[in-house]
Amino acid sequence: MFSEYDVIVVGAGHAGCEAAHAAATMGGKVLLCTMNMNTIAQMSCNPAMGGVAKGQIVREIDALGGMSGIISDKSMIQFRMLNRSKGPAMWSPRTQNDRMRFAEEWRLDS
Amino acid sequence: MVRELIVKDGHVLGVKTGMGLEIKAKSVVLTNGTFLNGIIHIGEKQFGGGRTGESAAKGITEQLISLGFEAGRMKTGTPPRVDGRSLDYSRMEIQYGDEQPEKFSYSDETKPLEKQHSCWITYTNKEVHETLETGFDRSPMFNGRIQGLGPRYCPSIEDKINRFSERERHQIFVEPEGWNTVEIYVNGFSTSLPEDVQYKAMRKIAGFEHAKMFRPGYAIEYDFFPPTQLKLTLETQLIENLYFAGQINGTTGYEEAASQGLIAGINAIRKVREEEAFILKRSEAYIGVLIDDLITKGTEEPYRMFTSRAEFRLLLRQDNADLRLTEKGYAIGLASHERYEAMNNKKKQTKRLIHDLTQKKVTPDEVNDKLTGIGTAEIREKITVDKLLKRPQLGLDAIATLTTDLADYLSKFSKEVREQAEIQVKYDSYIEKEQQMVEKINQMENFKIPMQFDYLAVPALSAEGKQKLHKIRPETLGQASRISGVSPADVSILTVYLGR
Ligand SMILES: Cc1cc2nc3c(=O)[nH]c(=O)nc-3n(C[C@H](O)[C@H](O)[C@H](O)COP(=O)(O)OP(=O)(O)OC[C@H]3O[C@@H](n4cnc5c(N)ncnc54)[C@H](O)[C@@H]3O)c2cc1C
Repeated sequence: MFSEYDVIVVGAGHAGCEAAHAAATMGGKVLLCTMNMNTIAQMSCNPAMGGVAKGQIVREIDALGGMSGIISDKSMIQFRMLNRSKGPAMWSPRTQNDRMRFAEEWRLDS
Repeated sequence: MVRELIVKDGHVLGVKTGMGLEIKAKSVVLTNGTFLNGIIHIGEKQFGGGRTGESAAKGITEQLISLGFEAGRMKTGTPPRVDGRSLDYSRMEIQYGDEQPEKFSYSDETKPLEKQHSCWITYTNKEVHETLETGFDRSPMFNGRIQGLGPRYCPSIEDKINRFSERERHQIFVEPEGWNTVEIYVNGFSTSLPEDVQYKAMRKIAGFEHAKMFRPGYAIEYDFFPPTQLKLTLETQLIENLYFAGQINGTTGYEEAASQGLIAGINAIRKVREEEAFILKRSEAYIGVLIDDLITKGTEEPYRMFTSRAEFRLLLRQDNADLRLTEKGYAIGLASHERYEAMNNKKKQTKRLIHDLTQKKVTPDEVNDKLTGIGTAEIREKITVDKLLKRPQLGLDAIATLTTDLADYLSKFSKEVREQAEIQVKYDSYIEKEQQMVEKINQMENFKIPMQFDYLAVPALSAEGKQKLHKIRPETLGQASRISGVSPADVSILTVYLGR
């Protein structure tokens, strides 16, 4: 018989990793279930984080205490502030990332 | 792999694995991504899978439908990956990183890059398009085999050619996948055409004449659950303590997924402890806009974030996310004490700097030569520095060159504080206007509607309004007013009804 968890997170993509990290940091007993240990926080599509409006979201996640910003920083290979020539509401950070390292940092940090 | 949820009397109690193991929990967060009944398409080939090389997840959708959930189907796609050693970069434009790179995290835990990798830009051409067209009859998108709706803003190359037939070329970003890999991501060339067609067409792109393809592009179809079935905490309305986050809610993108995961994780643990729901308003964060849009309006096609979706863009900037949110993150035990202190310090310093700028004065004698040199008008009399800073040609860096006193003074502040003060001074009238608007709408946003409120019992509501309100169950009057089909008259009626 297993003891009871506070939170079970099914899936270790970007959503699942943030969910599990948040609940655990806040002191919960958390189980993260996934299909394949090698594809935790896999960037299934392009190896980049942020961009217009999305970069603002990564900054917000970081400000709240989430991990996506730190993980992106640790695995970035290029940084650009998009829309720098426009007003500050449009400035949007974007990183090009090392796909392997991004997933690795998630495994190490959490 | 999780096959099934354990549900009793409208509560989730844990999960059951593929091997039949039962694991108990007080709450469950589902973040299955593209895996639920995922089907991968490459030309006429199709096979079950959640991502290339990984199997799909079966059973969960069927169970949720039997519990009363509504499910839908979406699709997305990815481009081929190629061997960087086989490309001719001399035929492409190089794209460098920023000269002074910054970073995402507000914490000191990470540092900006010292050395950066470049990317490249190239273009498709008529020949590429013609070659791709030879495969259209075998395309799963055009012959009806894919039913799900794809992301409009990140379309496949065949979609782009089809929809914008007048365009002679499309941009392709050539992006390395890391420091120590030769793999290249061909951004802008997402496709599910047959492999041989992908290969032939790709080799007609400038710089790709001898390209070696590691893996072909593909499209993937998957199940999602229309997010109007959720509360603002991302808990489902039907099953207590069950949360959905990420692509399962019909969104696309890592950032959209990660932020939902964060909010679901926070709320799952808070509910277990009987603490109040953690909800961000549309005026507080893009994350608030994202979740409010999903829950209130739902989405028919993969949802991604744009600045145009936010009505208070000038408040929701990338430079002030810490000032907006770190206190909230700290209050719930997520952001660390150091973070909170650093944010407070930035806030205090910024306030001090702005105050001082409104006090410090410069005279025509001191600065007019320099002002002319910068290309901005001379001053006629003594003025305060904040007035100068409002000029479009002048930032704090330029102001620091005006006098040695100013240079000395400004050098005491960090780059972040200077940037923050500059933005707040330059845009103060616009920022204030948005803030006034926020205060006005907050009266509606803070007007809570009880979850169990019976809309069907309010005869004065319009038929459509009644139906939509009953289905979406808005949590505030503000949210009710954003539901399509709910008229301003319906909102007034609700105000009266709830006010009683
Ligand atoms: C082929 C492809 C192309 C894409 N193209 C784009 C694009 O062009 N632009 C864009 O913005 N976004 C794109 N995306 C979307 C982006 O990758 C996702 O939106 C984002 O990664 C979703 O994150 P998530 O956490 O919701 O799910 P995912 O990252 O998909 O993670 C899901 C996780 O759940 C696990 N899992 C699933 N079911 C179970 C189960 N039953 N039991 C245990 N574990 C389970 C999986 O193993 C996986 O770890 C694409 C995705 C794919 C797959």
